[in-house]
Amino acid sequence: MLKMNNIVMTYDPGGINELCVFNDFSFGVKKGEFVSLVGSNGSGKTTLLNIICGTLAQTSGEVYIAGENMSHKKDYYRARRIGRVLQNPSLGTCPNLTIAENMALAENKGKKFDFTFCINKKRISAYRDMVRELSLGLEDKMDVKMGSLSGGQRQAVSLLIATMIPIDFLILDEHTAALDPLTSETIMHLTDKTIKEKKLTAVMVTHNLRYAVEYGDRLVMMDKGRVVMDISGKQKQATAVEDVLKIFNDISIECGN
Amino acid sequence: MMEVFFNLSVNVLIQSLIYAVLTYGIYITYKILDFPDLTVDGSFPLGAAVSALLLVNGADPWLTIVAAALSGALAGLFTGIIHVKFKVRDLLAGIITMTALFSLNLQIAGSNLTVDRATPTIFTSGIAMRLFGGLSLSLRKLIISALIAFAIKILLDIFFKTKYGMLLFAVGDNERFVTSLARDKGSVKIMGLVISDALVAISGCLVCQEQRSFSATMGTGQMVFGLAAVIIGSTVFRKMSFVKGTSCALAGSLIYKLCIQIAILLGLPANLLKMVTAVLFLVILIVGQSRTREA
Ligand SMILES: Nc1ncnc2c1ncn2[C@@H]1O[C@H](COP(=O)(O)OP(=O)(O)OP(=O)(O)O)[C@@H](O)[C@H]1O
Ligand SMILES: [Mg+2]
Repeated sequence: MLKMNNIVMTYDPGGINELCVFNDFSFGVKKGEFVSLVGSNGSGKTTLLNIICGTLAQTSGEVYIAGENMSHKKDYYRARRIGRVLQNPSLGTCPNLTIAENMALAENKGKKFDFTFCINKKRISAYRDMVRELSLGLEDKMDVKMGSLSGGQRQAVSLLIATMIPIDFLILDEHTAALDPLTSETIMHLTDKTIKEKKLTAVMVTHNLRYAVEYGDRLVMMDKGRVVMDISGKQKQATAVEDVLKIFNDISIECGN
Repeated sequence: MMEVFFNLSVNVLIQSLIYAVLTYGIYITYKILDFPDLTVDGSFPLGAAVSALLLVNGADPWLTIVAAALSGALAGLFTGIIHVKFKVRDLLAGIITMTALFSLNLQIAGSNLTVDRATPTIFTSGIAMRLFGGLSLSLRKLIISALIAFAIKILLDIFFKTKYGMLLFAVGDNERFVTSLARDKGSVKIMGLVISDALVAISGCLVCQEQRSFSATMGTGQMVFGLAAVIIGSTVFRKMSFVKGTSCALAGSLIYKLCIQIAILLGLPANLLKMVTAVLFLVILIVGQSRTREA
């Protein structure tokens, strides 16, 4: 599903702040895999996701998504097959548009944005059913602006919207980090359910090691632009939070933190 | 006395209706796209210059509206490309186009161009005469401008409900969302500018036909007028969210032109108009800001 070959990523090349985040980095994700990605701050997780999505252009190297060479394709071109939920809940939707309007736009992703009406009255009840699945009581608020929902509610709708039409790949960057523990748990359950039901391939960055261990079928730890731990299947099932934490700490101590 | 008052009121209405088309344009850039588009001060006289030149050469007055719209659309396209493709800041992109247009307008129509009384305009020929020929010229102007202002408003209101129209709102609201819809946010922005400046140029064309003249300086301050009108309109109706943005812009245009007319009646010298406009605009901005701060 995803193949990254020999990625080099240098911020501000030649400038005073030159910083090489990845030097000859390779990474792959199989179809249907749900990868939890952990690593200390600044280890390059967000940079990695941005390179996958085309938000950032890699200095050199290749990115393949579903067999297609995406190395030099624009972010909006790649977005056709990718759904993305970010840490900031207000980035996943349009705050001044209603839930229904946001969903109508999302449903039209990959199709023509022409001069036909955006909201098809017949679809509203279908949208409402999807929102009801979130069990947040939002089904009565279809005409409420996104901006007036809470962060958790917005994140739930963002997740719904990102996966509304069939996509190949779901990318989550600390998407529960801005939420309280309970809401965070709810969103995590929802994420897992969505990924399983829609059989999505997913990469989830999280700082919550428990989520990383409990969810997903592969766990990858990054440090300074390298993969330092990569477990899946039985091996992952046998791994406890403490084990991951120990490795995490060992690496941090090595760095002198 | 009554008749003077009546004529003045009709004139204010005509002015606010034909300038409302400009405020629709500013509503699109400023309110929807969140793009302060200074192209306006150039695209407004561009529409007037194109239409003045065509009128004196005997073109059909309705066709000049189409030509003005196309010229304005090109101006907006230019600003959009400078901003999106060459990453020039929004205000600067507009200033560059505006400055270039000043020379272009001089090339097209000189520093002044008068359309003489014998030349037909949309208010004195064709369908206007056939339908409203029995009315006085000012009433005819009022009806025609109202029809145009409302027709454009209705078209825009419908457009805003379409998929493409909604995309315009989305790009002003959250660019990343547009990208996630697999759409190029830059081209959506450019399209918004194209539509906006086409409307502004139509307004310039209507003003030119109404006053039968073009002057190279007629664009100065139009962007500020449009902003003020849009902000006044949306402030007045802020508690009534069901009122459409275009209705706010139309109402803002009316309130603004009315205030100016009253100021002139009270003896304000015409030379001070722009100064008053600037002060008024500053007051509106400060009042608007203090309100959002409280909220
Ligand atoms: N736009 C940028 N310009 C320059 N350097 C950057 C930029 N974005 C990130 N970096 C640097 O690249 C490195 C990796 O950052 P990145 O955001 O990928 O880390 P991360 O693993 O997502 O961290 P976190 O857990 O804090 O989100 C950091 O050292 C950071 O300072
Ligand atoms: Mg990050």
